[in-house]
Amino acid sequence: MFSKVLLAEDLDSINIAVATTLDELNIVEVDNVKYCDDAMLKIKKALQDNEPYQLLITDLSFIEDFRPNQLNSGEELITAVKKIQPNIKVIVFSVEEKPVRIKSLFENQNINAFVLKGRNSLPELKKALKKVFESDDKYIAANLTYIFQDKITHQIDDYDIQLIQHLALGVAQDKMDITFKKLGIEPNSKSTIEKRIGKLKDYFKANNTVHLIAIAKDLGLI
Amino acid sequence: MKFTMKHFPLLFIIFILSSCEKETKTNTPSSLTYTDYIEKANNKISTLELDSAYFYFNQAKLSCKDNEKEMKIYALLGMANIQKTNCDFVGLEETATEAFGIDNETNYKEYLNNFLGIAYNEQADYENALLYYNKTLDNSKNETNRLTIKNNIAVNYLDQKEYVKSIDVLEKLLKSDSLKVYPSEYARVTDNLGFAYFKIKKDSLAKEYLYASLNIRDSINDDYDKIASYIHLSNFYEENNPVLSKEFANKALQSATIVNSPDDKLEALDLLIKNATNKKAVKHFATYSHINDSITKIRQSAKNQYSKIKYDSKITLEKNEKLKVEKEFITYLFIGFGIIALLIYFLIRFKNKNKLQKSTYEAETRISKKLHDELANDVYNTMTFAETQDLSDLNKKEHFLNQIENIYNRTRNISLENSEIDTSENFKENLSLLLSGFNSEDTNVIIKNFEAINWAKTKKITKITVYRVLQELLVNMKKHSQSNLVLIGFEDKGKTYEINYSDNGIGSSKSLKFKNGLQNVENRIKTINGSFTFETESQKGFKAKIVFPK
Repeated sequence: MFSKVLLAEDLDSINIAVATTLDELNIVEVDNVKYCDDAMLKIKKALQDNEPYQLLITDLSFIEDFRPNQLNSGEELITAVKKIQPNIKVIVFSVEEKPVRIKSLFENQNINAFVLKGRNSLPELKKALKKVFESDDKYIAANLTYIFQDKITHQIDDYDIQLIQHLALGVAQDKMDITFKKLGIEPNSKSTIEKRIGKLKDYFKANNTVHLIAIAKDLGLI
Repeated sequence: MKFTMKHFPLLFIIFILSSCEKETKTNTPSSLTYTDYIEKANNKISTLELDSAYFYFNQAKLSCKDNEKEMKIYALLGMANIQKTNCDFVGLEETATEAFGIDNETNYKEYLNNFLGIAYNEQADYENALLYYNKTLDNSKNETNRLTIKNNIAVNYLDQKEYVKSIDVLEKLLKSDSLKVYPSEYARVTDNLGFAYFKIKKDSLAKEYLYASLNIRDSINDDYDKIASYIHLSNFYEENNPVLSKEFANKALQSATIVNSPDDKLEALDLLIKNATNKKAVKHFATYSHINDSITKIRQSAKNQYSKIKYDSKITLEKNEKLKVEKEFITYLFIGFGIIALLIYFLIRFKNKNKLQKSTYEAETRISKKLHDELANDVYNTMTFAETQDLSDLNKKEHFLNQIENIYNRTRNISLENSEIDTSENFKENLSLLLSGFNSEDTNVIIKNFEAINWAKTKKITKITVYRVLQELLVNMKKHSQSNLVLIGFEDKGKTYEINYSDNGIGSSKSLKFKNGLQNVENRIKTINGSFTFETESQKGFKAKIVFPK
């Protein structure tokens, strides 16, 4: 497990909770800082002393107070740290829920894991720590994985609608390819049509074709 | 008796010179135009273009402001001098009176009084003339001027046939030492004295003075003044020695022709007619009438000219005044329009600001209401639970934690719902992530034709509105509808875009909270000139249609 960790977080209660978790994982050396600038200083110092931090756990937003800071957000801190110590691993621990911002952390700041603060955050953090320590894989909670999908999960188009319309008109699924060929609708191979109907049943949570038609009608799709 | 006038041009050149000096030394004129006019007028006087000079003096007068009294009077003095030279005595009186009307306590007082004296004298109002001469004398401190004025007074007595009084004045004048410095003036006094003695039949004294004067005038070769001497001598010999009288008359005529003084010519001719034989008299008379006619004509036209200049400039002044009024009117009109435009501008701004303030206020109250409705109650319930229950019981602790988590999640939702929206080229991805975010194990969000809307060409406000509206509908769906299927379809309808929302939830027609949410949606859509329609029935899901212009 990691032996030297820096925690940048401005709320004491969270610091205590995280420290408890790290303690449970037998991580001995944990330093706390409340400002991004301080975090930067610590990392520089550790590098100079040839005892660099292996992991940085940081929040994204820090409450502004009387002290003027060079670095004012987790993003800025991570970018600055990566410049002087590119191999340091980073876990972001935040309430941030905007998919775009989280996505950008992985893409631009090249972080290793993102843990959302919440009811299950401490077990999640443990999982993340283990995963990040063991490999170079990215870690994110299962309910946030959707943000990395390029396409919207359940997308349908006019072809799907034509398919459902013809099913509703009484065309049997195994005769659909002939009908589509007649009408010049493409693609019209048996396998494609079969796959599409399967996808639609899945999307619309339909048990069978008749159920699919009923649901589509209810939703006003046809 | 026209000869009495002969010394005045000299006097007034002095006047003008001294006045000019005063003008430049003490009264630095505030307007350049005024000095320009005065300069032009004086130039015209030196070239004897008196009409033009009169015109420029008048312009100078008009260019003065009300408080520039001395400058005005100075210009009037110039005009008066010209009128005097052209024997427009009625006009002269008028001008001098006008000058007095402006201010009767200026440095020019003595000149004005003198002008009035001359004007009255020439109009045979001797009493008034004498009054003004005396006033002039009282005010004058210049010795030369005083001598001239005293001579004028003597002439006035002569005109009144008060020969004794005249002699009295002239005798005193002759004794004054300062007179001897000015030979022409001395000759003039001597001549007048001789003429006075002639009138009271003291012939030997008269002859002595008349010849003395002629000798002085001969010695200084003063052709102009010599005419007076010749005429007086011709008068003197008229009864006793017609030949000599005729000779002097001829000499007077010659001199008058040399200096081109029509008045003196007339007087000489008059004497010649009296002395001549019938035949010659007729000839002289013809010349006399001709000259008389022409000078009458010239003087009349000069008088007319002066009145015309005054009148014309009055008209011009009125025209200018009218133009000024028109200009002012137009200016005020413009200012008026400007003010109205400004008012309208501020009114619109004020209204917009109000609108903005109103929408800001609405947003604030909405958030505050949300905090109250959604959080305060639950926090209170959780608090009561913790207070009354034994949390060391694991089940109860779990319940407690669940409640707290629920509150925590909703706090974050409120923050997310009100956070800023990225409307840059990332908007499509953001929207897609928003919609995908509502997918869960229980609920499928199905999107139809997501590519139908060209977001790159859509206005910022439209993007924000669509984002918020879909967010609102989906949040409502998640909270209340118990749907497991949501369909969102995008369509390009040519001039408009259409978004169709439908779910298979319980329908929420009876939920007040839901209606509030819909009201928000409707208000938002209205701001982008779109329309929002929905239908819902209990247990039959919820359908909504949003149409908005591209």
